[in-house]
Amino acid sequence: MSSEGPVACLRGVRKVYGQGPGAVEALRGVDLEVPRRSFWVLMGPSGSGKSTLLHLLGCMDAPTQGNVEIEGIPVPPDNDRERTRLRSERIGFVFQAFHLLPDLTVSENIELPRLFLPSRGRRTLPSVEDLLDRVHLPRTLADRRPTEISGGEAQRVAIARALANRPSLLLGDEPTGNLDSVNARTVLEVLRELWQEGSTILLATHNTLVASYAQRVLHLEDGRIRSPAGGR
Amino acid sequence: MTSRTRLAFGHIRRQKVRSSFVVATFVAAVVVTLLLTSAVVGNEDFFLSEVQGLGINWIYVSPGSVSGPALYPLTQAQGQVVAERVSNLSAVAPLQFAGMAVPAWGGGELEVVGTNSSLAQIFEYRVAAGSFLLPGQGNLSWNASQPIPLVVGYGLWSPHNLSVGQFLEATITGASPTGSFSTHQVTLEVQGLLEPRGSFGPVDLDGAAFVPLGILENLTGSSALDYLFASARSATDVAGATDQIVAVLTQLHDGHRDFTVANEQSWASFVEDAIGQFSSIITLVETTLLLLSAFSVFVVLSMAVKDRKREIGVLRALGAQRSDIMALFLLEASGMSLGGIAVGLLLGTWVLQELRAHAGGFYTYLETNPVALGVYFPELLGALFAVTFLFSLVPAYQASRLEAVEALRSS
Repeated sequence: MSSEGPVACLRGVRKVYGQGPGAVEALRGVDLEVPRRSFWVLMGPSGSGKSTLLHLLGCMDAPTQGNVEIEGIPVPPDNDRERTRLRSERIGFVFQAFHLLPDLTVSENIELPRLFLPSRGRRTLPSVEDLLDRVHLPRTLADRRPTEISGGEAQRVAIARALANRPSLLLGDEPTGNLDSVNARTVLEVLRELWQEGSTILLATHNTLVASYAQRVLHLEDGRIRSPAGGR
Repeated sequence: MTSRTRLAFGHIRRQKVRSSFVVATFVAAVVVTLLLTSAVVGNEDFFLSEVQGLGINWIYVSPGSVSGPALYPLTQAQGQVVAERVSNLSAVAPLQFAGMAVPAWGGGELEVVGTNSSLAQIFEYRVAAGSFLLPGQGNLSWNASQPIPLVVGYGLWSPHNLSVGQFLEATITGASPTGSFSTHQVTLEVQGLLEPRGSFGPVDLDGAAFVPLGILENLTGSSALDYLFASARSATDVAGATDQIVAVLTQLHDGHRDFTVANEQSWASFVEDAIGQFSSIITLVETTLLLLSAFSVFVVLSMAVKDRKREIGVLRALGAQRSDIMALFLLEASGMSLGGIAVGLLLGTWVLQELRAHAGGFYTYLETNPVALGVYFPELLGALFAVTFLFSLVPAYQASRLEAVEALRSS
């Protein structure tokens, strides 16, 4: 694994859903390198392939054709266990609907990814308090339930959860989609700070506000990237 | 509680109705099993002790057999031949039953048994007062001018209980239960009261009154016996004596074996067979309950897989392996089943103790000793848990096969 090379790399990636005449080609030969410490945004209309691209980068899905690498490690398309391990160790996810689990406290939600971390003992991971600090949430929130906090707080808890395993790449699918503009700005400020501290962030969105915070905006249309790929 | 168990049990808490249904099936299965097992264990011990407690090395003959009715009646004369020819018998007693209405006793019918003095030895009757039938009294004939000797079973006698009748109470004074009274143009003279003897299964050994057989034959006009009881000299003589009785009576009945012979061992094996068959039925019931419980887990867990797609998707996206998802569902199933088993054990034990303490009758024989019940129970609980685990594997596996993207998209 190179510490200076791109965090993620897609080469000639195609993704087709279904078979035969009804098959849908979501991505049509995408080449992309996501450099370290970048804050990129993927924009495009619905169905353009933004979420598919995020899922491939997040090792949640495998391409029909082409290769995906995370920190120089090829993502095996047919090995779910290995893809899951890569995801657990190197990827953080932020969802539009937060997806905090209601049975767990804020603290337990943040620590949830560590339950599944295979190399937990070999890593130095930030404490829940540190993570709450990083997303500008009071530590007193740790023992609350997700139902007891606001939407903006919930999304910042989700960001803290995504950072729990010190991921190399933070992916977000419409992370401000369920927030009002005030909370959206707060969340975006947090993300920008994380980027400035060295995180690599890639978000998919329709929202131009989100794009305004990004270092670079990629446009996806009909499964192809229209903006030129490459580093910053 | 760890996050993993909280995740599993959180869903149980959220789906109260479904979870309660599963727990209830387990509770019902365990309670019913506990009650049935308790009944089997308790009754086996009870019946075996009853059989052993009927008398000393007893053997009895009754007319008729499983292949047909009696061709020849059993008679006292045959009993005498048996006593003479069969070695290793210490006593032989004929029994003829007759009902006798005693108006003075409230019109109730008195169970009168015609027999001889040997019956006391076979049934281990002891007298509380007076005497049992004396040697030679069994052969007495009825004489209208003479009172009939009567020995009263303990259950018929209680100075404080009207079941013995106002007549005896009125006639007999003081500590002695003996006395005489007239009914049906005969005079009966109570010559003895028996000590309590208990019962033999449904037969109350204390509920009869005994008169000399010869007199009862005169009164009933029949010499046919209902039973011929004998006692072998020792336990090891019972089987041989039984064979000899069969041989002698078959000869006396012109080669027909139109009678039934039983002894302590044959009754004990009959009881054990009956309990064994009952146990088989119970095993079937328990197996059905076990499968129903396990199936309820299967159904509820399958529904949970559909309900929790989003949660499964989130967990998978956060790095949960398929095995983690499977473990989560198995933990949930184990929680519900073990919870149901625990509640069932507590509830069942309480119900057993309450039934035994307050319900009376049959329920007093319920076994509540956990050591005695433990002979059956660990295997069953183990099987219950194992089958539940197996039934849980299918939905747990289905949950583990969900793809993160698909699960998140469907939610």
